[in-house]
This record gives sequence, structure tokens and C-alpha cells, in this order.
Amino acid sequence: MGRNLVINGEAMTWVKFGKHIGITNSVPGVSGSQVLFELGLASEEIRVTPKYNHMDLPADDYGRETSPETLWMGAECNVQMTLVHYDPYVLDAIMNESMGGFELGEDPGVLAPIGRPMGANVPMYSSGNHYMSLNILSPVQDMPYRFRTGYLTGPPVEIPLGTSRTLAKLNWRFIPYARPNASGEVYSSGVVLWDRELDRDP
Amino acid sequence: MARNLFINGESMVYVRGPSGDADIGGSSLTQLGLAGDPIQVQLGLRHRDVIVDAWGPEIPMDVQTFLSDVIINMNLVHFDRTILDACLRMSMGGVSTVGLVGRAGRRLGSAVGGPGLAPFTAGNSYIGLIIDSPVAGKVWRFYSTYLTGNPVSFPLGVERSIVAVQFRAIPYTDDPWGASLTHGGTAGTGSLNAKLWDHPATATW
Repeated sequence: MGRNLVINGEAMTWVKFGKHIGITNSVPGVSGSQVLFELGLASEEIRVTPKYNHMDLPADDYGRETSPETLWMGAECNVQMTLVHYDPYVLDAIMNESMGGFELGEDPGVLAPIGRPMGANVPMYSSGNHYMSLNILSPVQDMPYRFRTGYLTGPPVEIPLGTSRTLAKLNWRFIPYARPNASGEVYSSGVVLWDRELDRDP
Repeated sequence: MARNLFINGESMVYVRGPSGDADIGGSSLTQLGLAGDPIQVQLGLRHRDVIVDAWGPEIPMDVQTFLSDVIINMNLVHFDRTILDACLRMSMGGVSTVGLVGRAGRRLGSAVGGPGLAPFTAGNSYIGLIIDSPVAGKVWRFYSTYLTGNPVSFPLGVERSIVAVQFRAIPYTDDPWGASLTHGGTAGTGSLNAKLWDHPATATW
């Protein structure tokens, strides 16, 4: 692919939850037999903002300001979107999952126990894991995004209620979620923050 | 078709509304009426410049199209007032009685909170508009229109009333993504092939 103008084209968003949402605790109004849900369309560009972290490795020979080496210290990613044509039940589920997940039978808006780990130390898409993956399609540019492990963060969502169309502003944070291996170690190497492979239904 | 003088000839205006409407809800066309002078069809093509610094700030190196609407102005002189009232009702949110307003924020394509509805289904208030052309044979068929701007200017007096009417046509569709979801694929054509107008061989839907 050579250089060119980059135009993503229409961008549909999908989300995938842990199985407690899609199978045993289906989103109201949405078929409960699938794990991949259509969130909707934005009214303007979706903004993807990676945040890279580096740390200087100072040496006295270089003085206080300049470093002879820098350490890579990981990354996260922020995604902002203003939804105009979307599924409010899926949005409800996203909001609740971002609050630590909701218990079976609870109404939306109910807090999970404070301090609950979002991932619950289980693999992505497993029951009890409250991270969500976000898929942003790209049928024109053919460069879709899949963010693997995220949630709505502060301020997570603004929902204007009134007679005008409700443009819901969402602010996502995606992190490189990882679980300890069999030896109890957590390795950052190779953890996927985003890729261009879209989720599939199970 | 070779070049020639183009004369549209007499232009009957037909409308079609949502299914179930008592005045314009049939599956066939309903006559709105005849204009006293030429009907004006103005295409509103939208474009936006793609500016690159290498070309400076004034002239684009490419231009993007951002769809189009159409404004149709006509001065009706021989028309059906009941049908004009029906067009006004549809354009005010699909109310049952002309002169009443609909709910603020109601979508013309569907009820508030409801899904987008296909044209001519009950609950979709857009009006199909046809300008017939028996002489030139170039019928204009607009799929989703409504009365807009100052939609109607209605002179009341002893002279014949020539009513100035302005329609706006948009490329409405009940699915802005452009295709049903195909999981794992990249289906979705957006606005591609959404219907704004066409030229059918005869004045039919």
C-alpha cells in the first residue's frame, strides 16, 4: 500500500462481552444467542488516541535534562465516539460492564462491589470478565480496528435526554490486559492492545 | 437521445404517502395538481475540498462528494386542496388533522424511538413525489420528500389562489449502515445507492 489520502469511510462499531452477557444474561431486546453485538454508528469521526509511555534512563554524565536511553513502559489507547444510530440496550450493557459488571437480575445502574477486578483473572470473553472488545469496521479503507480489552472511563458517557436526537458521547479506555501464567508470572511481551482482526461469533 | 430543444410539456404532480393514510396512502399515485408556470428542480450537490499543503490553502487537489438533496418549487394553480393538506400533515410529523403539529423531535422516517421505516409504510411520513412528463418522456420521481422552508404560500382573496409550494427531497433510507450486519465481514455500503430521484419510463411507483 503506497501513500494515499486516507478515508476510513462508514464505520460501524461492534462490541463483544464476556459470556455472562451474551449467553446467560442476554442484553434486553437483543438476541441472547450470540456474543457479538452491534453498537451502532457515530455522527462524526471516531477518534483513536494511543497513549505511549516512556521513561528516561538518566546518567550523571548526561546531566539532569537529557537521557542517553529511554525505556518503553507500555501503552494504552483512548477511543472517543459520538453515537447517533445505536442500540440503547447494548449501550446499557456497556455502561454496566464498565461499572464492574452487573449481577444476574440487577437493573442497569446498579454498582458492582467496589474494588472488583475488571478482568477477574479469567480469559477475555469468559463469564465474569467485564472487559469488552470494540470493533470498528472499515469497508472503504479496509483497515478496521479491534481493541481487545476496554471499558468506558471517566467521564465515561454523556447522554442528553430531550426531544432532539440523543447523541451519546462515549469515552473508552483500552489496556493491555494480561493474566498470570501457570507460574504466576505476568508478561507484557506480546499482549495485544489493538489489531486489525475483527471478532467473530463463537 | 440526440440533442434537441427540451420541452417538458404539461407536468402533472403526483404524490404518494404512507400506507393507511386516508388521502394519499394508497399503493397508486394521487394527483396533487398542475402548476401555473414551470416547476423548478434544483439539485443541491454537496462537495468538500481536500486541501494539501503542497497545493496551498485555496485550491483542492481532490474533492469529496457529500451527497445531495433536491429542492422542488412549484406554483400550483389547479390542485386538490385535500391532497395539499395531506402533504402538509405529513410534513408536520404525520398528524391526523391539518393545522395540528406533531410531537417535537419526531422523525419523518419513523416514530420517535422507533426503527427507521421503509418508504410508504405506515409511520413513515415522507412523501413520494412524481412530476409527470408525457411530452418529453422524462418523468422525475423523488422518493422521500417533504414540504420545507416556507413550505406553502397561500394567497386568499377573490383572485384564483396560486399556491407556492416547496418540497425538499433527501436520500432517505431506513438503514444508514447500508446493509444488514454480516458478522466477521465488512458489509456496509453506507449511503451508496440510496435513492434520491430517478426517471421511470412512466409515472408509476
